[in-house]
Amino acid sequence: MQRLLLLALIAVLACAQSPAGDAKHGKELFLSFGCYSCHSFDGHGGAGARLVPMPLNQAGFTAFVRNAGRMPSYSSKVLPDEKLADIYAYIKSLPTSPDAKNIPLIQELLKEN
Amino acid sequence: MARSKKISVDRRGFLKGAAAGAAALVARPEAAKAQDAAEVHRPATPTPLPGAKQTASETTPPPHVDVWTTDRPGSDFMVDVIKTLGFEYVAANPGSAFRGIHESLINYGGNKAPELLTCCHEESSIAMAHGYYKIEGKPMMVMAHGTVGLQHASMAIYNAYADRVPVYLLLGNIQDGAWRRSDVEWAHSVQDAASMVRDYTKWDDSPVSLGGFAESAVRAYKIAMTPPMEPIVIVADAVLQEEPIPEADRGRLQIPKLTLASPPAGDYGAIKEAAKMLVAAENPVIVAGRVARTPEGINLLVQLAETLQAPVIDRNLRMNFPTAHPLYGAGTVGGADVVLGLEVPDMWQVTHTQTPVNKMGMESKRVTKPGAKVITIFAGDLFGKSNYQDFGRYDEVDLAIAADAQATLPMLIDECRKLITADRKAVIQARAAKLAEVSRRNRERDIEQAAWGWDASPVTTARMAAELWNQIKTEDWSLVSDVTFVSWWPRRLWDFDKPYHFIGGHGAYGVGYGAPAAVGAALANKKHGRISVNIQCDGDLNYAPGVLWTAAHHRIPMLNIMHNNRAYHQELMYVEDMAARARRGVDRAGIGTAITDPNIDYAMMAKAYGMFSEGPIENPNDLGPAIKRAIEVVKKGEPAMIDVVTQPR
Ligand SMILES: Cc1ncc(C[n+]2csc(CCOP(=O)(O)OP(=O)(O)O)c2C)c(N)n1
Ligand SMILES: [Mg+2]
Repeated sequence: MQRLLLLALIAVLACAQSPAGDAKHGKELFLSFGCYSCHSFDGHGGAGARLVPMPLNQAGFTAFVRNAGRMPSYSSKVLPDEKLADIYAYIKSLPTSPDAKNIPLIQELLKEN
Repeated sequence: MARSKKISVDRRGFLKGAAAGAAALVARPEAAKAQDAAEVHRPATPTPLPGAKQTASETTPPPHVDVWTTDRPGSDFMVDVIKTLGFEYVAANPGSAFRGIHESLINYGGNKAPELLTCCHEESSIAMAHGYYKIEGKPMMVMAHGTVGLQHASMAIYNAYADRVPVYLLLGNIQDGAWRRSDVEWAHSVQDAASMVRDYTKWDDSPVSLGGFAESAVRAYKIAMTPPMEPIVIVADAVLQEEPIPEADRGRLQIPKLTLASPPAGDYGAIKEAAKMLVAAENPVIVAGRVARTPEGINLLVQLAETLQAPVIDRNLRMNFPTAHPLYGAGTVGGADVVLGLEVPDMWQVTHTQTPVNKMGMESKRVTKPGAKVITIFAGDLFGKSNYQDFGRYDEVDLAIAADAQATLPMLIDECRKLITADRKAVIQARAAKLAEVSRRNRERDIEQAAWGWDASPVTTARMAAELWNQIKTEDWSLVSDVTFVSWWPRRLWDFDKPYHFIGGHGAYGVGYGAPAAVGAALANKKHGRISVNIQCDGDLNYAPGVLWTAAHHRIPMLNIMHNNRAYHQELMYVEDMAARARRGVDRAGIGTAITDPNIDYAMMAKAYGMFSEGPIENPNDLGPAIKRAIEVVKKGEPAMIDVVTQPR
């Protein structure tokens, strides 16, 4: 948690320099670089964390990917900043999950609990 | 040509008597009785064998020449023995090394108790027996060729071994070279058949007489069923099977009485010490491995947990503890001052963390608090083999009780109760409400997370679990598959409380276990009319998909729902880790791990094997209605499959 806050702080400071990414290209990269394999195709999480809504800004995201915790760290040789910017733009474009209140099966499970 | 006289055996009377189950029995076997009057009939002049050059092989039918006949081959006696052990089923892919027993089982034995299950792979036979045991609580018999069959079976045997599951494996072999009739039979014979799996079986024998067979067969059953339970191997010599029961044996053959050994309970002094530590603890935690061997095991664990108000962390290896219980998952090992591990095979892993695979190097840290005490009750301490390393890392504990946990629990519960004074009772009760709230909140968090990606396509594993639950919760259901590869969603969302609600996992993570174990477990559920649910991984199914045919052929009702992530996904993630570590080609990790191009059509596969199927389902809204239709089929006593294209985890 502390780490995340720190990264977010770095991110806020670095924010101005970040180039805006191309979400369409980002989608291709999200798939080909296997982001989906832990975060699922729509970023809702799986073996790895949920990405939507994305709590980090672009610079914070880049910093995190470069030196991640449990996920593989992707060096700039593997994924240069521009590519990460595209992936970030794609993640930002992903729809959030429907509200649990509007899902009857989820409500039933909550009632049973 | 002289033909053998029929010796009449009252088969119905026989079946009544001999199929009485694994009851204590000292029997004068029926086959040996019949032999008192029987003669072995031989033609006056031996009929020449057809074409001296004929090479008998499994590719040509056996010659139909009445050269030697007998009313009682040795394999009839073997079947007498087998029947006293009370098997319901025998699983086998047919093989000439046990053709004698095969024939005796279906004709002399009437194909009842045990009934033959036709399997398409020996790995399936064993894994079916593995799954069957975890529902039924008693072993299934399996037959296989002592060479090629056992080679196929070996991984599944290792899984059963690591999962502490008894499998009763009977191998055929032609011990004496002079009796091997062809190159095939030479290639299918072996000096020491069981040696290949001796590292991961508990006991084996290759008896050289029918009397020896009877004794070893009964002994093997007893050994397999004594905790820690493990697979055993009996080699049935083909000549013993196929030749008549020897004259000399006829008056003296008998089947020894089977008496199962009582499971070993812990030393009384050690139990008292454990009780003292647990009652004095401020935050005791129970870690459950393979605790419950019988339904009573669940009751006992609930009693212990409630007596101590100790949360239970379940390792998902057996149905140990009700998932809706207020103590389920309500604590952590790191927060405990006393940790009690019950039949936990990997206690070191439970008490430590290690550098994850995405990082270089290896460091480990203990997660227990300084001064925290660890107690183990583990039947694994009574049994050890050295080659295969499933025993895990040596763990430093404070009190190790070498015993079967379930057998030890009644004494431990008693001792704890004796030590709980009014003061301690107040402290213990004060924990209850807090723990119940933790458990409730954990569950609530899980349910809320199940909504993440609810409408996504491919379908999320959480949605799949929720849709399944919605349809089965009013039925008498049984989950006959593991949960690791679907992010444990069923265990997080469903109410598991009956002994047959869950069967745990592979044992040794030998993939290919899933489909056949599910079929075996579903078979055990069949006579109870339960709805068996198998969440089936795609990679797992493709090792030996013929088991779908076995399910269809034997009318085994079960709902198979594909977790079709079109990948060997676990390995894909590992290769991604390696590529990221090596700073190259992460985008190439799909090579060798993806199961695409072409996509496999599992609905078509199931249909080809004679099973009702639907799919592939990509729209999550189609899933509920499809499950409903499939359950209708299952309720009619048939298996069904729904192919669901899923998110990776
Ligand atoms: C016999 C065997 N071969 C290979 C492996 C390595 N392995 C571990 S998980 C896995 C992937 C299995 O794919 P699938 O059953 O589809 O599960 P997924 O990870 O895709 O959910 C493999 C191949 C193994 N454990 N056992
Ligand atoms: Mg898969």
